[in-house]
Amino acid sequence: MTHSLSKQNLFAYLAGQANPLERQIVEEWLKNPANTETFHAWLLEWEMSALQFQPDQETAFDKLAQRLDQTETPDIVNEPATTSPFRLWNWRPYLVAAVALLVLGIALSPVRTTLLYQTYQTAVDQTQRIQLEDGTGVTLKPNSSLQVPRFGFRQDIRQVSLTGEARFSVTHKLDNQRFVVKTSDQFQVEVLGTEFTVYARKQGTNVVLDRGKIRIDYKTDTKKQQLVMKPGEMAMLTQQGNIHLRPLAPVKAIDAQKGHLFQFRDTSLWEACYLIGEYFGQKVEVADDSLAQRTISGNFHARTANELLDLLTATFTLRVDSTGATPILKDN
Amino acid sequence: MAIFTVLSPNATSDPWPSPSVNEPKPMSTVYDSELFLRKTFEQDPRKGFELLFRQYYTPLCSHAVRFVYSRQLAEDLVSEVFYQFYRSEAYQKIHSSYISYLFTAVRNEAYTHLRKEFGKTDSIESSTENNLPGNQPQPDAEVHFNNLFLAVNESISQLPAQCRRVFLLSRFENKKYDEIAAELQISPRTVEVHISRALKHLRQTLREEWTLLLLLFNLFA
Repeated sequence: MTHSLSKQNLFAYLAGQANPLERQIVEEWLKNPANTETFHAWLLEWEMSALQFQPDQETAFDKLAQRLDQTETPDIVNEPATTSPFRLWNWRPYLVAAVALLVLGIALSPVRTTLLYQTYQTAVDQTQRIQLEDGTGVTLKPNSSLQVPRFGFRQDIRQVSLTGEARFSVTHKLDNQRFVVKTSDQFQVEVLGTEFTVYARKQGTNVVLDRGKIRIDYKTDTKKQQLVMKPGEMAMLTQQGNIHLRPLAPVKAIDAQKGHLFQFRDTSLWEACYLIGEYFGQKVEVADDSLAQRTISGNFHARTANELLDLLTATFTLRVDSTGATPILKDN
Repeated sequence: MAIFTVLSPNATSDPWPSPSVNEPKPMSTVYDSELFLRKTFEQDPRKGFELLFRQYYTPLCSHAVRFVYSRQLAEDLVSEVFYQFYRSEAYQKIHSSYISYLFTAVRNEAYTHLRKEFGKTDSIESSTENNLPGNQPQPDAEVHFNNLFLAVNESISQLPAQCRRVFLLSRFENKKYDEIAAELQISPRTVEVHISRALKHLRQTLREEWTLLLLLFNLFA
């Protein structure tokens, strides 16, 4: 049987303010083991509402951590006898050894990556839509690869590795679980909820944010740095390890006659193609990395994607390879 | 194979329906709030342990100090409980919520400490020492633990003002006798007298609780 009791009654009792009758009701309630969990939950609430003192938690934790580090292996012998009816210590060392061997084996073997990650790879003329377990949508652009952990993707930080280019539309989780795109040991994008594109190739790394908020963590030789991006901004990491954050090249819609005005200032071909995709809905790819990093300045009027592409090809002396589904810009 | 329990609303007939106010059951919320801790413990026990510590260390210290009346002792006691919790890998075995386990352990330890300090010295039942939870708790244990800290509190509040001040400075603030003497501008000898008087008073008022507690723990030891 479960007696009900109000939290206020319990708090009064704990504070020593209950009259004998109230006290008896609480004591009866406490004697029912089914109420123990509730009691402890309320006890916690009561303590939190009026702390007797503020202990130095961090110092205490450091001390404890030190103590644990000195004796990292769990102390099995001193375990209270009541807790192990199956005499765990008889087989545990073997299990530990077996697991250790297995882990070591996997760690050293070349199949490690295959085992631990699901890898998506696109060919030069292929774009792939991927729906991750958590609902996040990824558009993997040509000649790119994405690694998604097979285990623990849902529980821990959602972390994927990218080489090449991809657009992410991240599902926000109720528990604010983090979503991280790693492009190298020095560079990662952390999502604070949102849509963005990451471009990570040898020549450089670009991140463009469409919606929401993301944070970039990157390491230079000397220090770790962070950068929070707002929509419409682009972050560029150069080969030298410098990072630049700036707004995307401005594009103005003029009128139906003149179309859009693209104002390029040292704008890379990659960024120009990205903008074509944004404003005309036409995907355009750049054949190789060094080409993608070439820059252009000037004002360009264009009503359609093809008009702007014509201007670009003329300026850069390029040609458009339209054999595939997506036009590809190539060196002439 | 699936093991599950179906709980139909009429299955548990309550012979004494209680008319009192129904609070929403917090049990599920405790589990919910500890869900993240559980997940972390599964992934990385050390990380889980760190989170657990940061979440509960302060309130547990606040609770322990009601029994032992010393900040230092309370902190040491709670740290020890956390240490044992990790070392014995209790987090893999418990069926209750973490906070319930920790409260039980802290209250047990506080009791053990008080018994050592104020209880009878001819303890036949010394084997019950350091009994972290794991044993089925006695139905009366929670009540007696509560009575114990309430008795300690009341006993201290009954002390004459100066005597209480000295006692709290010594025990709660962990100050030395000569420091207290300097602070209150009394002689160190007077400090000693106050302290021993306070302890004597505490011992007396706790005697009744002890008789009950010792009886209880001997029965179930």
